[in-house]
Amino acid sequence: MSESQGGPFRSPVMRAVRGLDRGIGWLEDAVLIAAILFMAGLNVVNVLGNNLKDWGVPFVNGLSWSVEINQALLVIITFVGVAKGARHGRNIRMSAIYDQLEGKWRKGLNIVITTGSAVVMFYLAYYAFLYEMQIRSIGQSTPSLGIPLWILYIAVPLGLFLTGVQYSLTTLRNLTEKEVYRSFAEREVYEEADLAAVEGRKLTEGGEPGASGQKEDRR
Amino acid sequence: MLALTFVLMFLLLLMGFPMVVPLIIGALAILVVSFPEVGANQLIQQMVGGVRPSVLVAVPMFILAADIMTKGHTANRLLDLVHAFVGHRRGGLPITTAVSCTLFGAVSGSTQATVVAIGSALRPKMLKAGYKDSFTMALLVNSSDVALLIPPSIAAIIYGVAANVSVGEMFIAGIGPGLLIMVMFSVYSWWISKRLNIPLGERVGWADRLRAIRGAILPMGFPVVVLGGIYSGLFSPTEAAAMSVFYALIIEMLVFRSVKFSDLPGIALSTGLITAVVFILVGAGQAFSWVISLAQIPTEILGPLIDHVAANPTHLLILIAVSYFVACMFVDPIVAIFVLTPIFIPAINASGVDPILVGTLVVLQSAIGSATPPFGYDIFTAMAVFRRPYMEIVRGTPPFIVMLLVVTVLLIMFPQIALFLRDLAFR
Repeated sequence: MSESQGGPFRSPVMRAVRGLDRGIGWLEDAVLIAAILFMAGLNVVNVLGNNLKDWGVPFVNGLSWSVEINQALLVIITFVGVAKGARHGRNIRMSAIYDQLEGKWRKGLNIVITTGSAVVMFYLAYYAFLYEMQIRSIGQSTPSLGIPLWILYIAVPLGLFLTGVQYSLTTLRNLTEKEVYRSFAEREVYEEADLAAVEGRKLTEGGEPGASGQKEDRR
Repeated sequence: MLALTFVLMFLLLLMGFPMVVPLIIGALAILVVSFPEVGANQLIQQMVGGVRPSVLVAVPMFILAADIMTKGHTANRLLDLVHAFVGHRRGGLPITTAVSCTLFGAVSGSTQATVVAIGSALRPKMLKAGYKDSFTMALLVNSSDVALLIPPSIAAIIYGVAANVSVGEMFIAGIGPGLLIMVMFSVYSWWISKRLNIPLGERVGWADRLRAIRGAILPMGFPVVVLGGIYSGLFSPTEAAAMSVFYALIIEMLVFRSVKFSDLPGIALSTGLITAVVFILVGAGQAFSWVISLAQIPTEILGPLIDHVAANPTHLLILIAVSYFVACMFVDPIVAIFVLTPIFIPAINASGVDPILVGTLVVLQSAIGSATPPFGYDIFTAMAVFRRPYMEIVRGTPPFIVMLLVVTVLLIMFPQIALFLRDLAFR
């Protein structure tokens, strides 16, 4: 998804932060794409294998280890994806009241929300880290393939931590700039077409039919 | 204390915090006060456990299939088919809308994909024919909500996980009420068209009809794969989901050639994001529902009523319907399902009501609540998609909500609407 960028950063520190942030964003995308495509491939092969075997086709079989890999992929997609959700201001929320606000009230509430969310995410990340240590010390691993669980579940503390970082960066950006940002890299856009006309920029909000309502789209 | 926690959660929700935050804060508050000895890493364990059930694989797979089809031409082909047969009749266009939304719901399982795919094609035509915009948008939003009932339904999968009931049975039980709603919407559309005296459309010749059938025959294979597979016992819901991805890839990439190989990473990314924002609620919802069960809050809230509802199952169903309806007016159905289901489970078990009937009722209420003012999220979807003000979208909805509530009453009075097909398939 392309981003509706705000103005350029003047300070070198912010530019460095943005560079790092983009790198992490790229990594999140790569993990999500790989996880979804792998899950699709795995399950298609598995269902075809199981059914062909039932029909008596020789040398074909389902994948007995697909269950544990599916479970790990679900966990990875969820916790890496929630960071990406924060990056694009897409985590599901009830924004009816927020949408009615304007100016400094809107900005103020935005800062309260992102700060509070960041605190909760860091708190969860800390306990996820403890949980991670716990399963590591027990030495739990997946039943068929014997992959240590803690390696697969690194996504949990890491994803929650990165979500916290995203919300913190959003707070930072909203504190340092005039406009309202729904995430670190994306400004809130009301009437895409009007704004584009005013600023003479190209429409870059990829694929979303209308960004006027900030109610997050879903499913 | 409990009341205070719920008030705090509601406040955070209204302020616009991501819904995962109030759920976690609520769970933490109860945990810290009632069970200070239990560590918060137990919450993490519950969150991870919440998103791990294998049946949940069906959710990203159905979303992926829907994303592939939305990128391709499936919706238009279905729409052409319906229009070729009913377009020239009284109320032809709105009936086409209602039926196409149901059909697309049957292939995609996504309310928003349905609003976008069918709405962008049919709304201009309906406005041109003389229908009011408020009626048109309300029809689109509410018909798309039928997608929640018609399998594959993500709400049904989530309820299956939360209440530990068969997702396959949930799927089949949603068909009856879904079709009933489609028929009611069609009748209402016919009446509106008659009252406004909208001129009839042109009859489509048989040559064009055959062409429309040929165009739609492959997309119509989706319900066959999903429902036929589950109904016949050939596929589990997860396997049906994988097959629908396979089928979508074959028809959109190889047959219609409307999706290219290079489109796949973008589609997968969109699927991953949508899945994650839903699943983090499933995880947090599971953590919350674990905490309130641990604190025996369900018994505290409904305990005095359990004997009463055990003797009067209908009262329980009404109570469930009202609770989920009101909850879904404010929060995402997933949150409502995870917060309310553990509260009702003891009562449902005591009353002997069929859990699949309860599940179907819950999914129906999710659909109604989602389109009901003030905060039903589908209203906001419509605002974003159609770029119309809130009031204009809300104005047309009351008749639809009344019809949906009538279906609720009918479902409570005649459970066979949902259970007939289920019994045929599974008993």
